Amino acid sequence: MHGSPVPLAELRRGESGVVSGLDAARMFGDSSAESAALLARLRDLGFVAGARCEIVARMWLGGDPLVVRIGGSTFALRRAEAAAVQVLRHKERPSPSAVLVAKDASAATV
Amino acid sequence: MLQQVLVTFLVLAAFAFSAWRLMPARRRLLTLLALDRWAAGHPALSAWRERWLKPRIIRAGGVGCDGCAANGSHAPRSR
Amino acid sequence: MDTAVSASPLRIALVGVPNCGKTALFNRLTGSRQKVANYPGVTVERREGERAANDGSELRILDLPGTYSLSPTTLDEAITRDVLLGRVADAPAPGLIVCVVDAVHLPIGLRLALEVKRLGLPMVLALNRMDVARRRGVKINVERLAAELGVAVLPTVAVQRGGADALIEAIQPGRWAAQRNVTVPAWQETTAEDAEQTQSDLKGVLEAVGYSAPVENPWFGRVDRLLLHPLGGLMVLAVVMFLMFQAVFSWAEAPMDLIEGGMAAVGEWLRGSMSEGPLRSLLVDGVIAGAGAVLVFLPQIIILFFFILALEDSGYLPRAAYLLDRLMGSVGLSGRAFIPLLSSFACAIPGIMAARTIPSWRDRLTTIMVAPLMTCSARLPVYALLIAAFIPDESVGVFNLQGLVMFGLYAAGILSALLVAWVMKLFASGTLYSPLMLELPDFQWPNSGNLLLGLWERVKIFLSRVGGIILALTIILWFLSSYPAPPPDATGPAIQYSFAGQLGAALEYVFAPIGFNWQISIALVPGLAAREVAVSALGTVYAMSAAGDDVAGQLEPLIAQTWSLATACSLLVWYIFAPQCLSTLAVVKRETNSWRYPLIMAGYLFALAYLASFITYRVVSAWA
Repeated sequence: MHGSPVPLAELRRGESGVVSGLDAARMFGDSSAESAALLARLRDLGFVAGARCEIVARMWLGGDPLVVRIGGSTFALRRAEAAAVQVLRHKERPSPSAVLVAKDASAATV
Repeated sequence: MLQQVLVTFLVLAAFAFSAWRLMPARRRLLTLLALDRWAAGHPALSAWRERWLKPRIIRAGGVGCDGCAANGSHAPRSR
Repeated sequence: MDTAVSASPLRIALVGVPNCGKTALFNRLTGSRQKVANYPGVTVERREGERAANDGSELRILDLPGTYSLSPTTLDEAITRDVLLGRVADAPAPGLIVCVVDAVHLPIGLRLALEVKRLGLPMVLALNRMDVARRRGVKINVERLAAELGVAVLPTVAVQRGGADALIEAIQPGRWAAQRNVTVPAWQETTAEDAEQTQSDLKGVLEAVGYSAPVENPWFGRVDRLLLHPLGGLMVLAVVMFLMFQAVFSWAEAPMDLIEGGMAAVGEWLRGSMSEGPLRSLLVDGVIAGAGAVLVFLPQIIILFFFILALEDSGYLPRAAYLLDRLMGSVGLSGRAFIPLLSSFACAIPGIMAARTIPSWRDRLTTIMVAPLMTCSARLPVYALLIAAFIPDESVGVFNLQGLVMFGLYAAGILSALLVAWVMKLFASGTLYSPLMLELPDFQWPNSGNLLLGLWERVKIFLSRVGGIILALTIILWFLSSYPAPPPDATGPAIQYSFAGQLGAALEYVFAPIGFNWQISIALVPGLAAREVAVSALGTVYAMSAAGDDVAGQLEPLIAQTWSLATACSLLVWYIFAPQCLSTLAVVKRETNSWRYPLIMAGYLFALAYLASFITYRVVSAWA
């Protein structure tokens, strides 16, 4: 795991990560009642902090909509909906040397 | 002779049935309500009112697409 | 409480998130003792069934629409919440709630269960798909779960015989009689604090029962990679559709011949055993040749819906919705429009009403205006008749030509719907965001029990339509075709002198440019009430056109001989577009609360139909 949280919408196909939180501002640029309801629904579907998620598919031209696997279930989301989900990316396909480095570092991280 | 009678009966029944089915929902509901008001005056019919008329009135108030092939829409149901 | 309590049936409501197997469980509990209706005032499907309790009283079981939360985002979900709170007319609050939770996807179902539990109504939990959970390595301590929640937890395997026995024991009225008069507490909207509380409760329970996420089935992942691939997925969708229509023709041949032969035999017998007269004519030319002509297509309807139900049950349809979402969005159709438009393949009317779930008025209107272009099942007999009569039963490579043409007709309907939606979008301004958030359920082998029940429903609907409105209209048409009787010195078939014949001759002026003869013209009139009636009307009209005592042949070879290919193609194209269904227009008026939109719809559809038929007729006549 590395980096600061990115919106779920920016993960590419096959990438996975851990949800760190939901952010309404990224969805519509404001926090109207509608986005609050959508956020609540996302939470109800399992998009909560600590949940592991993976992008299964992305539609061409910008990945709208995309398919994400989370908590054992699979959902198709609009880019705007996925944008509200903040995710910490998993390191993908680590090289052997990187694995050794990560092993040393894992003592310090959770 | 019998043939004529039967044919007339069948044709009239067909007209009545079609008229009922093709009636606009509102007209059908009003007819059922009028029927209900009339039946209210005859206590002997109360059982029929409860069992046959009332469910039809409630259903007619709601959807009214009676003559349609698919009251059970095949929209993805709960699995 | 005295014995009077057992007289009133115990009302049980099944609640759960979508795709948890709730309906399979409902089928297991009620068998065929169920009926489908609607909630008053809305289009939401209402499934109720009954089961005999051990003490002889009745259990009334209600299958509520799946919902993710008691804070609804759609009409479906609102109905579920309202029924639980006893707010819906004619649907009293249930005496017992069975919360169905998919053991494989425990967190999402359990979260809802915690919310429902807060209502305070008597409740048990059905932990469904325990067999699949075990296979996927999911461990759940059932006793601990029951202890944590404070309700009885019954493992169930809805798809297996006997899989719901434990649940059936638990819902017997004896245990719940004492709590019969529980009043539902006043319910407030869920606040953010409530939601937080539920989440932390959920976490606690999941840890306590030792839940771990299911092991991924690698095959599902591989299949999904293909099915959800932008290009590969759409190709698979096209192939599936091709195969479906191919099967509709090839599998149906034998049963259709059977039905046709049966009808012909009955007709012959009636002709032989009855003396000539109006009754014999009504029965033979009206009922057998008319309504019977539609009955012949029952096998094709069954096969078509077999595929649709199987695809639905397997979990494929939401994936198709995902693939098409972008395309639909580009013509201004909301992602929410997929389900109403899909419903329109059975009949546009529930589809138009289902459009109420679309929040934006403009999106909803677009959906309503294009729904009739989706090839409804009533068009199937018309298409099938014309294709069987005019399209040779040949193969083009791997595909059957007849199946291809059928697919082409369906595709034409869809493409024209997209085109019309796009045109409507040109007049619109601005876009409204509509959420998708669609769950793609795990794949599962379609359950044969569910499938058979669904097909049986379809068969009943079809038969009641044939025996009802189609038969009635055919009898009326027969009447109008028989009277007035021709003068004694008449030449030619009697029908030409009747009401229907004269009306047909008049209409022929209107329809001659697009190649319709007077028989077709007259058949289109009752066809306004129900599209299939055109087939039975043609059957009756041709049966009565047989001069003298000739045995009226089967309809299909008759029209194959007497019509030109151009006429047949023109009629096919007419049926793609023409608003041959007054009921649909009536529903549009109700849904849009004005005459403007149904009139616009009738206008543009008739114009489109006439134009397309005209072009088709001229082109095919010149080329053929």
